Amino acid sequence: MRDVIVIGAGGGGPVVAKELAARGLDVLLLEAGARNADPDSEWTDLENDANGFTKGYLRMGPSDRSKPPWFRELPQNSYLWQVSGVGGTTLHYFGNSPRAYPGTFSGYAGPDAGAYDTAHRFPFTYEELVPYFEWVEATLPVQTAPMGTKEQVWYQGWERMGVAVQRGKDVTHDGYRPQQNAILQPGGTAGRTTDRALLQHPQATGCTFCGYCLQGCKNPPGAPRNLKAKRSTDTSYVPMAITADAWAPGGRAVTLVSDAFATRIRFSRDLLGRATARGVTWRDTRTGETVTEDATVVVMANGCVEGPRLWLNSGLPNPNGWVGRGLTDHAFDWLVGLFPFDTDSSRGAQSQARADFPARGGMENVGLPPASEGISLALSDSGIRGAYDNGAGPTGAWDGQAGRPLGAELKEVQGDIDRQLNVLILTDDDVEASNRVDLSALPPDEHGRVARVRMGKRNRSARTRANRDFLATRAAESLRAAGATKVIRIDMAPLMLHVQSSMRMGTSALDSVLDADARARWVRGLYVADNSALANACGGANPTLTTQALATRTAEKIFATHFGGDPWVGSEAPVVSTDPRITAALAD
Amino acid sequence: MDPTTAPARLARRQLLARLGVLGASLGVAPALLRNPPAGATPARLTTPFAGLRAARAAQASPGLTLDTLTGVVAFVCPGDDAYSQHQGVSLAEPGGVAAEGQDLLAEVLDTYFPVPELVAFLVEALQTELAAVPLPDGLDGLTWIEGLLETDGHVPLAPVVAVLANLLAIQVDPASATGPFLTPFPRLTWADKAEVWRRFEGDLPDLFTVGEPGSRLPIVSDILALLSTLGGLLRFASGAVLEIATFASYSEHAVFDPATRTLTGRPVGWDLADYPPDEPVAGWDELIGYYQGRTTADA
Repeated sequence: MRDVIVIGAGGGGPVVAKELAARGLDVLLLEAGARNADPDSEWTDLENDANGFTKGYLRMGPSDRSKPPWFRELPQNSYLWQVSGVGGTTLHYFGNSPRAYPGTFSGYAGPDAGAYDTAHRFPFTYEELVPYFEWVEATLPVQTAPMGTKEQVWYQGWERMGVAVQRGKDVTHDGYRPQQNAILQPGGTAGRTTDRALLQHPQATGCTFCGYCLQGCKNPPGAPRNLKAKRSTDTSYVPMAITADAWAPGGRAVTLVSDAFATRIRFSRDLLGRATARGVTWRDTRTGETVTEDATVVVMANGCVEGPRLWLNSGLPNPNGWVGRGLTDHAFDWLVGLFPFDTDSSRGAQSQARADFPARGGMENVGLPPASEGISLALSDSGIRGAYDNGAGPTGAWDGQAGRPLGAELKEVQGDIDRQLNVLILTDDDVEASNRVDLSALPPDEHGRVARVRMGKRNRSARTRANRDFLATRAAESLRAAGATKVIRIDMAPLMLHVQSSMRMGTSALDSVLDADARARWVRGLYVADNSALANACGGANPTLTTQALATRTAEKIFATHFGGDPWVGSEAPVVSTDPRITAALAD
Repeated sequence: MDPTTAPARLARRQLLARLGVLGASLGVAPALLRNPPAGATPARLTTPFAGLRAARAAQASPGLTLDTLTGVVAFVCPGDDAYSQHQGVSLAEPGGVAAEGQDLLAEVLDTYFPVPELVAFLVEALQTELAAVPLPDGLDGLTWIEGLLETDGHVPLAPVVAVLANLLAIQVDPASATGPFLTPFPRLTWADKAEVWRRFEGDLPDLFTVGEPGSRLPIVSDILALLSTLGGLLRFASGAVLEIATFASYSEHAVFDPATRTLTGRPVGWDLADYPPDEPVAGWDELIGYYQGRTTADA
């Protein structure tokens, strides 16, 4: 009998696990994918080896890469880009850690208050979450991103447009700024040389500008795991969780089990029919063995797709039908500008600068290696430029119709990757019931019925579509102001890389699964602590930091409600994940 | 034995039964298809395969599949290869074909989709058209694809995609039935290839697309859900092929040694993109500083 079982070691689960382990609870952390114990020997930085659709080491599938990936039904042109394994989708994230926009929270009374998704606000105030933002920012840590050439070009564009700089962490007005990234700033030789011999840790510390965020961060070479530059949870919260006895007074190390695919949440009903979570059953993906453990509290953190799937496959109650509904994805779009001078787009952390437009969304500069750039150019809902437009192909501040540049134009666009500059559009998209995760009509796999993920694009709300078009226009204008001689809008088909709110918390019991404490409304002892718990799309801010702040708050709620403890955020000082005690414990 | 596999097998039998009902209720091909080519000879998927024919099809399949997918990769990322030259859009430099994008495209498709029953239904629905796709050695599109469906595991989706591309190629330009290469799609001009993909992204999935099943009868609802799933799969696959082909044209897979996990040469795609490194780097001398000297954000 455990105190707590956390399902999923991605962006949110390890946060709850670490926080409760630091309080001395007996925590079991399950992860369906690989342990990723030694990136220095297991990862290569090569694109297909890392991000290959079916066999990459950063895929959604079992640790045995000779086995097929886990299938999910996508009944539309789209790409669902999630990663299994310890670290989850933070393994390939860019570390971008902006705070959610204040206008997405209850109690917001700014002049633009009516311009957000007002029907689906967070069920508490922004001010209440700020101490948790600060706690996570100190723990990871989150730091202001440095500047390379691609950032310099980005800033020049916005300067020439006369847009203001956003100076603080709280987004209060339209503006551009350096990213707040969960990436250690470069120190020593990092960012100053290409010589591998000179980039060994500790001669180099922090980001070395290698340009491989998407392939998993293992630099600087030779750095201990918790001193790698990017603060994915495999380098931050997981090391803290499994060494909690070494750095937290009274702490107890988390038990981490990888290759453990949760197939059922066990629950019982009392005489009144009320459900209580009792434990978790999982399947060892290497042996096929089925294992069950009980716990006082179960925390689901297995993601926006697998979470609803597990809930539905477990037969848990779903009286309002909102399990899996309300999925948001920031309605991504992509623009690429071609420049007559070097942008060094392929170098440096893959996004180090952004712009925010509260109540509209945000956007960020992105530099990618060539194959990943290729898929970004090809994932369009608007056909092939110059050939057909699929009934879409919008025109505007960009050149020609939106769509895929293929054939001779692809060769032109890709002819010099270091003279490109990409903009990723992060729309403040609405929670809509029809965008959802449910169970496929196809036969089950070894873990039960598989998930179907439906994400409309053309039938998104009028506000979502208007926001997306507004942001694409501003992005095209900024690229031209920066000196681009050609700007292409892709009009992306759904690229579900930021997925949120499929098990959302909400102010109303009619359209939410969780209450304001991230507790399941209809199951005692069951909580959710990943992006699916978010009430909405955070206004278009990258979701991980908000999820981690919320997960910290949820850990406090669990500790107080089920274990009689007191909250600690605000009364204690956080320990940073680079603390030497953690480094030493990992070495042991 | 893993006990979770038993319900999976049961569900597969149920799926087959429902697909049978669906096929019968819709009359399959005649009711579903537009513009069936004249003179096509229908065949029956349920007819036991003649062993020799199936074996010949299986033997020929990899070559036929790669031929078609090579035509796709040349369409996406043209170069100086024969496939690019034949389509009328080529460049005096290597392209995705030289990067062996077709190999990775085939590999990804072949490991993606785990439900052969649904693909079998698709083949049955399109059997008249598939039988009209001429191939070398007396094969046709239907005989090519039928033999690949006798599996309980992952259906090899690459030949399914290839045969659909060839089906549409014949409809776009009947003259592509003959000519260089092994299959019709690579014989098309670049513009005709684009027309194939317009139909692949739009017309073909539309044939199988229904609205949200609203029936209160579970069997009807389930059957309509399956039909919608098939349309959705086609919609997904038509986009995914172009996306994977683009990725594959610029990736390192052709010069990656899985034993040593190192490169055996410089990837073609890296030259095409003028991507600087010859092998993965530990870092770049790219740090300029901090914008306006801001090393922290204001509190």
